[in-house]
Amino acid sequence: MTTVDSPFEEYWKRLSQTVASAVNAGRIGVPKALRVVLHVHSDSFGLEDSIQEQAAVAARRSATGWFSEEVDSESVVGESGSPTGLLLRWRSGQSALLLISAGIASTTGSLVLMGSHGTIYHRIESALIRSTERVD
Amino acid sequence: MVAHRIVALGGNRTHLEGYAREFAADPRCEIVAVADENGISEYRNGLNRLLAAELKVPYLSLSEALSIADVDIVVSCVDIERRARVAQEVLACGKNLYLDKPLAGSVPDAVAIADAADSAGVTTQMLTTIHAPWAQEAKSTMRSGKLGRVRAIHSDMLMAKGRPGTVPPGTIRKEQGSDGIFTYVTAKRELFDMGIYPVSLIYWLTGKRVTSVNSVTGNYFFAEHAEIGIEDYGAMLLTLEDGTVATACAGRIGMPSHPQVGERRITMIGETGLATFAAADPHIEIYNTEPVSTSAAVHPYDPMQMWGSTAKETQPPPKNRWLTLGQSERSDIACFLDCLESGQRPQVTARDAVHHVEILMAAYESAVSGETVYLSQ
Repeated sequence: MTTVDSPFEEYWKRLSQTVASAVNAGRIGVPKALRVVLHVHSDSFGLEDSIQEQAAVAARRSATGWFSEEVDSESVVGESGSPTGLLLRWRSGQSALLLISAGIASTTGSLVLMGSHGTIYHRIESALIRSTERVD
Repeated sequence: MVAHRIVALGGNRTHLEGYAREFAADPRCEIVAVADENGISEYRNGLNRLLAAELKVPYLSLSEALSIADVDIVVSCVDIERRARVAQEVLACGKNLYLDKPLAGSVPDAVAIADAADSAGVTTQMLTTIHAPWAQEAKSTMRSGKLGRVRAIHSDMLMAKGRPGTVPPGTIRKEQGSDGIFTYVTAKRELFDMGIYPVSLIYWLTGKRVTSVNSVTGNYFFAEHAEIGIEDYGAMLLTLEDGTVATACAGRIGMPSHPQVGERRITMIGETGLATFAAADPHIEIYNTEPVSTSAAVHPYDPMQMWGSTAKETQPPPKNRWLTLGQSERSDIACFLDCLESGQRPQVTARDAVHHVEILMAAYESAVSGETVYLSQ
C-alpha cells in the first residue's frame, strides 16, 4: 500500500517542531510576536476557504505551542473566497498576525517569530515542500 | 547659481541630520539656515544649534528664517507636537514644504496641515519609502496585472536597532491610546513611528483607503519603552475600501534581530500569483573570520540607535554580512525636487498623509479596546 501525506502538512509540522526547538532552547528569549504570510496551493476550485481555515488552524496551533498559552481572542477579516487576515491575542500580551490565502499559485510564504532578544525568520518555498511517500 | 534656497527646521537627533545633508548635496540646493520656533526646550535648542554649526549655516528663529529672501523650500523635522503650528506658519508664507514622517500626532493637526497646503497652492511631500527600488518594483508588478487583482497585501517595517531583551519579565502592555505626545529622548512610539512606513506603502500601492482597523500593541523588547509607557511593537489588521485585506507589522525589534537595518518587505497576493519585495533582496551573504558583534555601546540619550550623530560616538559594529545588490535609486528628496521643478504632483503629499494619521490613530484606538475601529470613506 502506498500512502502519500499532505506535503504542506508534513512541512509545517517539521517547521513547527524546529522553531519549537529553538524557542525551547531560549535562542530568542521569550517569544512575543508572530507574523505569518502564507499562501497554500490548491487545485480544487471552491475549497479555498476550507484550506485557508486548515492553514490558519495549523498556524494557530503552532503559535499556541511556541507561546505556551492558549489564544485569548481572535479578530478575523476577509470575505468568503478571499484571503483571510487574523489577529490573535494572548492574555500574557503576545500577539500573532496571520495573512492566509489558498489558490492556484504555488505554496509560498514567510514567518517571523520575534522574541524578547532575538528573531526567527523562515521563507516557505514550494520547492522545499516535497511529497512524503510511504510504501507499506 | 542654485535653484533652491532652503531653510531646515529642527536639528541633531531628528531626521534633519540626514535630510539637510541630502538636500545640501544636491547641486540644485543650498541650505541657508537652520531654524526653529522660539521658546523650545534647551535640549532641543542645543541640538538645533549643533546641526547649524555642523552645516556651517546660521541658526535663526522661525520667523527670521521665513523672511529670508528667495527661500523657496522649508524642510520640517520639528517635534511632532508642533508640526501643525509650524507647518501652517511655513505654508502661510508660501514656501514649498518637505515633511518628516508621520505628518502629525493627531487627525485634526494632519488636516490643518493639508488644508494649509491646499490653500497655499505649494508643493508638499512627506518622506516615505515609496521611491526605494523594492517599492517601485512592487508598484510596477501591481500595475502589470501579472498577479491578477490583488486581494491581500502585507507589509513589515521591523527596525533592528537598540539592545533588546531588557523589557522586565512579565510586562503586559495595556494600551492607553494616543495622548498626543510622541517626543521622548530615549525611545519612540513605534506603532506610530515605524507603522507609518507600511501604512503609507499600502495606501500608495493600492490607492485604496482603509475602512477598518484592528490592532494590538506590545512591550516586547525594551525597558526604555516600558518605562515611559509607550509601545515598541504594533500589528494591524486592515480592510481596504474594495474589500482587500491588508496586514502590517511595525516596531523596533533589536539590533541582533536582522542582518541589516531591519525587515522591510511587502507581499502582494493576487488572484493568479504572489509577489514579495524586500529591501534586503537580492543580496549576497558573506561568512568569514571577521568578528561578529551583535551589540553596541548604549548611548545614554539614544539607546534605540535612532540617530547618526550618536552613532558617531558609540560606533556600532557594521552590519555587513548581507550586501544588497546595488540598484540605481532616485531618492525621496530628489523626487521632491523633481516635482517642484516639473510641476508634477508628488506621490505622497500632505493631503495623502492625512489618511496615514487616520489609520494610525484608529490603530491606537483599536489597541485600547481590542475592537475593530471603522474609518469613514
